Amino acid sequence: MELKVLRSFMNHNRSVVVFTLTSTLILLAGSICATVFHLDFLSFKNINLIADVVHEKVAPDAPVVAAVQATSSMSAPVSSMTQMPAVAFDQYMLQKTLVHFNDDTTRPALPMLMEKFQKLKNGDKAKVRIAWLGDSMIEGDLVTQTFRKQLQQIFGGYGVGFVPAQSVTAQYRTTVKHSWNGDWTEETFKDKALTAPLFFSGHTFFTENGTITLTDATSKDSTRILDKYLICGKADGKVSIEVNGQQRDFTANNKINRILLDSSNKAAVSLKINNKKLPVYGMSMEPQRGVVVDNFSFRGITGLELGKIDTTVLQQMSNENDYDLVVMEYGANLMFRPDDKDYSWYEKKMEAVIKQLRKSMPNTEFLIVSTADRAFRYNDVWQSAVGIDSLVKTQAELAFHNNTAFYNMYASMGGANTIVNWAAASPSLANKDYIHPNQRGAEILGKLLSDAFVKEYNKIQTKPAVTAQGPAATQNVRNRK
Amino acid sequence: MQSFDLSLFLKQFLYDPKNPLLFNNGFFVYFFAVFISLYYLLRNNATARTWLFCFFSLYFFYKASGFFVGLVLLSAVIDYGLSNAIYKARTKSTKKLLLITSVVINLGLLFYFKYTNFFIALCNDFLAAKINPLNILLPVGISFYTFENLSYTVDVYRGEFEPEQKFMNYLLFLSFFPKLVMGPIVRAKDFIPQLHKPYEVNQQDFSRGFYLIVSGLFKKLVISDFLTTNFVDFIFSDPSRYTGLECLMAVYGYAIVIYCDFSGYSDVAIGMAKWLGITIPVNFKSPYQSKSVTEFWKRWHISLSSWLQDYLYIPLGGNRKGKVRTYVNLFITMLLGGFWHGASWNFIIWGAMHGIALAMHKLWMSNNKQFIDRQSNKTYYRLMAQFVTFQFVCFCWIFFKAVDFNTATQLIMQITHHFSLSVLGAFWSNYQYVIYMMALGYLLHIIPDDFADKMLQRAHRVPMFAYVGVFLVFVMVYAHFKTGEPVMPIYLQF
Repeated sequence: MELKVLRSFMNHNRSVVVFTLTSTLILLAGSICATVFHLDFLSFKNINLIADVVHEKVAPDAPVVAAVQATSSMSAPVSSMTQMPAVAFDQYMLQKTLVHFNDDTTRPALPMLMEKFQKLKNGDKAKVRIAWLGDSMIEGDLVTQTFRKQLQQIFGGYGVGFVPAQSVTAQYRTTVKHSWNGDWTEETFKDKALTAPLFFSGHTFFTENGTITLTDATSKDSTRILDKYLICGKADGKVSIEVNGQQRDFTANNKINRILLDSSNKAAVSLKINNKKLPVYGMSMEPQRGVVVDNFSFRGITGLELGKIDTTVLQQMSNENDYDLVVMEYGANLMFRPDDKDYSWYEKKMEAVIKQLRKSMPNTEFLIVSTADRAFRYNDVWQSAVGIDSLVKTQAELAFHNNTAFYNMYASMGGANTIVNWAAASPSLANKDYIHPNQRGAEILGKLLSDAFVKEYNKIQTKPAVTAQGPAATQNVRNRK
Repeated sequence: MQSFDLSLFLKQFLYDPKNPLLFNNGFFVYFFAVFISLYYLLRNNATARTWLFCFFSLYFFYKASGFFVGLVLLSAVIDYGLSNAIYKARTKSTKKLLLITSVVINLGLLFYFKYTNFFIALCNDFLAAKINPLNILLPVGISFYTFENLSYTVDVYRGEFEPEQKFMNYLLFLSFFPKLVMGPIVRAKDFIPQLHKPYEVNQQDFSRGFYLIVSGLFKKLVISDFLTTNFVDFIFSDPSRYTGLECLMAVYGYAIVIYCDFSGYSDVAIGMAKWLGITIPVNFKSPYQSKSVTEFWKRWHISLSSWLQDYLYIPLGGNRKGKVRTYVNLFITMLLGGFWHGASWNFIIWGAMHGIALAMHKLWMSNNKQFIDRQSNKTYYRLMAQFVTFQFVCFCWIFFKAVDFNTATQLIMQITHHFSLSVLGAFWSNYQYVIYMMALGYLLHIIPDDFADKMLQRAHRVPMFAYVGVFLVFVMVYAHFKTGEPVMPIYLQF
């Protein structure tokens, strides 16, 4: 016992040295073995003590999608390019450009839209309405609020456009003050059984005693006349609604109804609805002439959900010339597994959805906006998803085969690892989930997009667009490979 | 094909801003192995040992912060000179003047590097000035060694001890690498006398050092880093995207992250010092078991709270100038203590909330003394007090972690307005490993303080290969959880 006590008081400084050197030597030996024999045993490569001083001799990977400037040569780094109209398809790699896969790049993409912009610029009383469909990337009016503001500044207009009856991000949306009360039920893209058709928003609301109050925050000009519409579905008989405290009766016989509630210089409107059968989608606050951009965000979707929208709803919207342009911005939710590279399953399914949309809305132009950058942690470093080039190309193919314009968001924001740099920037431009640009980042994306639109618009200043019986006539018909 | 690259090898010895030296860098393993071997060889020569230690500490600083190492040297020269001059000065007024010079220089440097841009932003906001922010990098550890310098000159001024005659000892006190980056804040009167002693490590010291190093690294590199990357960071970066439940769990997650991060780093520093024959007092004592905010500050970052008490609260008058002044002094101390953590309003709010809570607790104690005396030993009272204290501390962490006030209020809004247990199933299936890790963190935290000591007393039976084995198992666990690019410890910029 005494010996033990004595031992514990003896100087053990040698133990520190023995322990340190033994552990270091074992780790060093393990590192050398792991390097020489390429062992990944127990994740040894993650703690390799010599990894920083050895040089890997490998051929550098050719970049699959190299974002190219408009002026640079459009070589084809993708192997399947040989089976495609080489130069035209290559356009999808262009940064900051709306492409329409046409050899004649002096002609604008989205010619009908550009022509309508021209009308606005000339002072005609016209309304350009753009539906921007997307996922959580545009939630809270991110991206679209900047895009809308820019276009409204150039071509006129004000107002936030469509606002759903309820939204999870309502309190953070800066373009509109939005509150509601009462008991509501909801049907969405995610529900199997639906009692009413869905609108672009993917949410249908019902209430017996609900109220909604909206205050537009896009313009401080108190003299402008702001029209407020209720967007709702079909209801039998007369529908009674309290608008700003006054009872109003109207009919809602169509599948989609736009009911003018108020046309005044007031920025606010309040509604009280007590009809459980009335499918309520939302409201719209817009000018009598100018640009309207409707934000339709739905968390966690890929775009395939748009196939759930009744074609008769789409046709009615088309007949009433509701939308000049439909933008589809998806992709982040397709990259849910870090190692996915094959999106052919998506291409097949989404192609059917786009065809249905295009067929039902022949007078509307379409634009596919590619995914933005998204990163995963591979081994020990955050990097862009390995499949992102493949996804962008898939989305470009969808656009190419369906006479749809395309915008490469991924390349435009800076290409590989941009989201990693954005999250690390100070102040940051993206969240630490390495998916979502924040308010500051979204502002950059919105500005890039509006600049790309203006670039196309400027083309018709020098060369008028060809207008014919619809957008299909302005673009080459392309066959699938 | 792999080959040894000489230029890469040589580059390892230089400072790399993208990869500053931390305890979890591979380079540190070699650094420590070489250092400890030489230190052992020179064990019988105290002067040579000190020179060696200084050299390695300054080199560590260089690898962690580049040429800011010059600042440590400069402040060591200035404070060594001033403290000796204070000691030798004959009149009280000369001593005072010299002390003021030291305070102005030390706080001036800290202010310049840490707070200049904060005050420029303040001028721009409130005075509509248009001053461009300066491109100033924060030297690593400046908050810590500034406080160490200050306490040293103040202690000499107060006549508590004679200033150190050997400059190298003073330099080592400031630059001692185990605590250089993230503390604890060491007092010269505890530290410097130990440099004169022979290099001795008894069996207890060895096993305790080992335990502190490995458990500290585990807390920092496994628990904290895992939770930070896989949960806390992304929720705090945009709370509006997450449900109330996720946000609430992120707050509890952050409470364990900050504890593991900070106490883990402190433990490694204390453990390493133990192995080098130097004892540094414990810095954290299971703080979330506190029954009041007052007790919390006796268990959390003890070296800072005791520093604030001795060099700020007491000079302000402490509790000697009446009740109201006591509350005001507590508030000011904590407000400045909060500001010490970082140049932002959120740290000031965090400090202010703790200051108010400390004052309220004092008031509650003095008004309900009899009731508390009767209840304080009862289990229900203890549990309730622990629960309330923990919730309050967690609430304050929201402001500490959030990048700005707006984000903090967003997170609180999500918890108060968007909380629903209906998402529990999805939450569990998505985050179960996060929950396991949090549970492990809290489990380690509630291990009674004396439990580890009791276990370590039996450690003399443990053979060396078992220590090495445990360490290698830890390394493999770390490798498994390694989060990639080194996650900067949260207190690094403080």
